[in-house]
Amino acid sequence: MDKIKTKKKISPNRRHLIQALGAAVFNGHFKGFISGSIYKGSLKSICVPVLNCYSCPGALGACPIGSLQAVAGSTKFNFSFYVFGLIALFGILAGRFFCGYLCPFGLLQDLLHKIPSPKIKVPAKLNRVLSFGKYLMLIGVVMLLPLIVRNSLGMSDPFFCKYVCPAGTIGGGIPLVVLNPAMREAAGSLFVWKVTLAIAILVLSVFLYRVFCRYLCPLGAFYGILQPVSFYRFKINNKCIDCGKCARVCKMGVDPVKSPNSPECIRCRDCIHECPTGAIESCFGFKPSKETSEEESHG
Amino acid sequence: MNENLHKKHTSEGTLFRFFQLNKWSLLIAAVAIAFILIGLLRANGDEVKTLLMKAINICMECIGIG
Repeated sequence: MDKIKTKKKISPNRRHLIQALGAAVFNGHFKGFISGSIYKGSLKSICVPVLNCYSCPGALGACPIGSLQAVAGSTKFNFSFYVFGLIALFGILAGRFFCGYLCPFGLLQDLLHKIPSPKIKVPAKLNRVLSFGKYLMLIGVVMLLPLIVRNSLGMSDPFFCKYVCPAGTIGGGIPLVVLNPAMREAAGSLFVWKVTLAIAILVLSVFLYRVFCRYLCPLGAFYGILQPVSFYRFKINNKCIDCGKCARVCKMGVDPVKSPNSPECIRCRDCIHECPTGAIESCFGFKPSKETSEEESHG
Repeated sequence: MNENLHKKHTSEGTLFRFFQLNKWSLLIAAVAIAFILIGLLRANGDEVKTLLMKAINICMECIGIG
């Protein structure tokens, strides 16, 4: 029992430490934050598994959503096999684990939600309807719009990055506008719109847990689609006493007993640490359960 | 000798069961790897070059300026 209590206290901080390390690794070009320029090395041809704008002064890799739109919006290609394959590989390996443990924008929202304030609990039905927003972003804005809306040269805008992405505004836009005088002069109404939207999302994050991840993030939607079949999985063993503690502690509105591999779960593992009987297990790959193996051997 | 045979049989059985239980995950992983390879080889690597060219230049749209 004591062991469980200790785990409860340490675990969230350890997760935030991993998130902070992830943010530092993905944005390891620290001198960019002083010079106001971006990294131009070959590492940028590799996508990171999280929403991390490649125009952030510190970014070492490419943002998968930005890359998907950039290639699809070019004159030569309508679709990026390479980026789509990479996102699918990340998703099938660990699902939304990346959202919970590595995403820098997720960390920012987690920290903002720690500010003492009244917290909003969205009713389950409304939450379900709103959560479709991220699929709309993925299929409509990220994948279909660049194919439909093209200019006379056959190119299209990265619509999600241009009009929505708050991670790009905070990681790339604001630092570059602050550090680079040329960028400051070029900033106009679009920048004002993006900063306003980013601030609105950040303010909402104080009251509503991970509002962007739940309702708008196209990368979270992609990983969520693959989560039920991803190798990294949660399962409920026969120790479950249906106390409901796991569902109450889940800030993403998931009931782990009903759907341990829900597309909404960000694998923060709060439910595992809250469970008094150790009924929620995580595993890599679908393991044959002990009971099944025993039944088979007896049979 | 018999024990070794039994061990081999059991580990093979577990491996078979692992493949059977993870068939969809393995299939999607294989398709994802195939997509990555197609992307790398497509048009003499132009797809990755296009991505690199976009990523090493400041994306004005992404930061809300373009």
